Amino acid sequence: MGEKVKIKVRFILDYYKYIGKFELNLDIPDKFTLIDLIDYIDKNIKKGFKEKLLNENSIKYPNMILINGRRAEFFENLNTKLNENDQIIFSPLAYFAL
Amino acid sequence: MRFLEFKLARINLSDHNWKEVKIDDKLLRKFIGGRGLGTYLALKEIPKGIDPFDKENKIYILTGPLTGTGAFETGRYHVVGKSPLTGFLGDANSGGDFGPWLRFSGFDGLIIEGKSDYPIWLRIEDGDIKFNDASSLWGKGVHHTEKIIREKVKISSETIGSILSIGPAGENKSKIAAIMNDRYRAAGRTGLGAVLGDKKLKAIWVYGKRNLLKEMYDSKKFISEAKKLTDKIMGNPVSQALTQLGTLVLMNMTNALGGLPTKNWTHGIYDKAFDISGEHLAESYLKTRKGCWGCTIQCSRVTEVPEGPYKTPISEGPEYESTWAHGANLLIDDISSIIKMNYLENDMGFDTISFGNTVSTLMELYELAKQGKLDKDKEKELIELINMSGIEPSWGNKDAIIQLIYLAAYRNKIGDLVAEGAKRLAEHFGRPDVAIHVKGLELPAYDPRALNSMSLSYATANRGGCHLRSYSVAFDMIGSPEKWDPLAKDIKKVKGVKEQQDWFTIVDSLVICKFNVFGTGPSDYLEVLKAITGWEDMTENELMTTGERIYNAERLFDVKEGEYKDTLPKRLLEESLPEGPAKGHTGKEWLDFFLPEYYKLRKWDNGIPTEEIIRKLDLEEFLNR
Repeated sequence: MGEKVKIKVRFILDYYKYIGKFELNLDIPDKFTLIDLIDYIDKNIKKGFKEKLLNENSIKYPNMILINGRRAEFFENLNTKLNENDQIIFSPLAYFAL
Repeated sequence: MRFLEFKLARINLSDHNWKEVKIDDKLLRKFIGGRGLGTYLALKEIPKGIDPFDKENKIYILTGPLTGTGAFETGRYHVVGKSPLTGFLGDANSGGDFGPWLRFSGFDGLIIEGKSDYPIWLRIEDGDIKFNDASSLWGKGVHHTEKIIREKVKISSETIGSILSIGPAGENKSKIAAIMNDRYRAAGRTGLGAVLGDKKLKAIWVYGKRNLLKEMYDSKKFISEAKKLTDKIMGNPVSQALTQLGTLVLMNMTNALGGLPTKNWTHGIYDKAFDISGEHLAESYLKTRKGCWGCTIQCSRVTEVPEGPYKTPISEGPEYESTWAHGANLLIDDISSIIKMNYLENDMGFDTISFGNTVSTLMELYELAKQGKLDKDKEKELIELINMSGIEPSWGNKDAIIQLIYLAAYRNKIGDLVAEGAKRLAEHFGRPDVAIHVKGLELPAYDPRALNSMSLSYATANRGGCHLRSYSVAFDMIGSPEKWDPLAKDIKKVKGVKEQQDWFTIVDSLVICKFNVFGTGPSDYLEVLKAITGWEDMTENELMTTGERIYNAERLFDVKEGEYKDTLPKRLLEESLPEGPAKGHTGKEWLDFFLPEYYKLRKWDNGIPTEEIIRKLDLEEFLNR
């Protein structure tokens, strides 16, 4: 067994309803990437999560994933390595607060 | 087929007379209506340098060619006048039903001028205007006022006819007073409710049977083009999301990006944001949804707090901005209390964004006073006033805020200074740096240090700290219509902000709702506009140039009214956020990068339109205002 790291995962808007929870605190294996996390959630928490979120290997429009407040695209997208205390947010497109 | 006739009523409150004013087609095409026409009229008619409470100041209540036509989301109106809050040109926009019913009453807009000796309410029906004594309404809240007027006109259904009014805040000339309509809707920004209060105009009832379809240049074409537009908007996922979630959708998202202003803009992350989010509202106090006149998106939330200390009847709101201003900004995580505050501020007739910001200013001043960090005389004055008021305005104190709403509305004790807005309040106590505003207008719910294009949007917004001149949050936060990195120094953002400012100016002039404009653009509205007006040869380019003309015209008014500077509040300019993705960044870092390029693109000399651009936009008549 390798080292574990603690991360916080949040689900907002449609995903809050879909998962039924706002926040999860997870211990994940070191070297877990974003895609590994999505697979983990799909397998252990909500079947169908991956299909709802991804289109093959890209984020399906209009979904958005933030890692510590930055869109995953600004890192290495689905291959971004997750670190201790990271906060990951899954959200559909949320447009307006005019 | 006929060309559109745009008819206003010039209402003189000094002698209780009115006359009809026709806007010729050429002028209308040059300024469209709503915000554009209001700006033109203000430049022509409001004397330079006057006090906003001078009887020469005017309030223009205007619709646009699309208002009430059913084209899509056309239930709005626009208000323009010299702002008592900023001292510059003020304007505000509101939804609900008032705009369409004003047009159905026989008028496309109202010019309110002069001052009455006693309170007045206007009854406008089928092309006629009657002046009525409003002495018995003076001092009453918006909800009560509307109820009484409906009894007087004998129409109780709130879907028939519409009422615009001011609350006690406007009557008592609070500089953060809104103009209210349909009980919960506010033309909130820039304090124009105080100008109506100064003129002693309490309310306007509008009702009529005018058929706008019959007046259109080509009604058959209009019906076909409006259907295309509706299909396009409702097919957009954004419209569908709005129906489901309303404006509170962004609370958790803004917080995640580190851009949710917290504790008077000293932080960008609020650890209890979920408790004031749309997700939480949906499972607690949300009853149903509601829309403006003719709108199927229905983004407004209808809520009720059925019991407890913040019990509130079924009412509309709160919207995202109001919830933030009273939530994260004041460290309040109890959404039931925010629903109550929103309800009361609507009743008293306040701009909720400005009110929340002014309270956060007071809370910080009070904290500084308790720490001995104010000038001794000022510290004594503040503590005495607070004690006399019987409140404890410390962070998170919900009950103190509820008391403050009444104290400010009736200008009682500390409320007299709160009614002046954040800038004047902070200046009074010798700490102008504590007030978060641009050009005197308190800022809305996005921290420009974390969403950097907003530094330019806020600084260059003509009316002051505003997110509705350019909502570049859409690019920075949402990534649509184009994906921007919110922390990137990317020069293309300058063009994006400028183009959005010009287009949004047209949106406010047509007058339509900004909720539909991300899924559509100028070309989508062109054919509808042609069908209504008969401007067959109008192009998309002309429409955008018109937006630029109006934006420059506003600025021509402003730069002659005193020190007018495109900048950010000192705190946002110089201090960085202490945590989150934007940690370490200051507003100065962003603004210094964007602003010179923006001026170049606008052809402005340090914020002032050059003669070259004034002539190019056909605004020569205002060169020497």
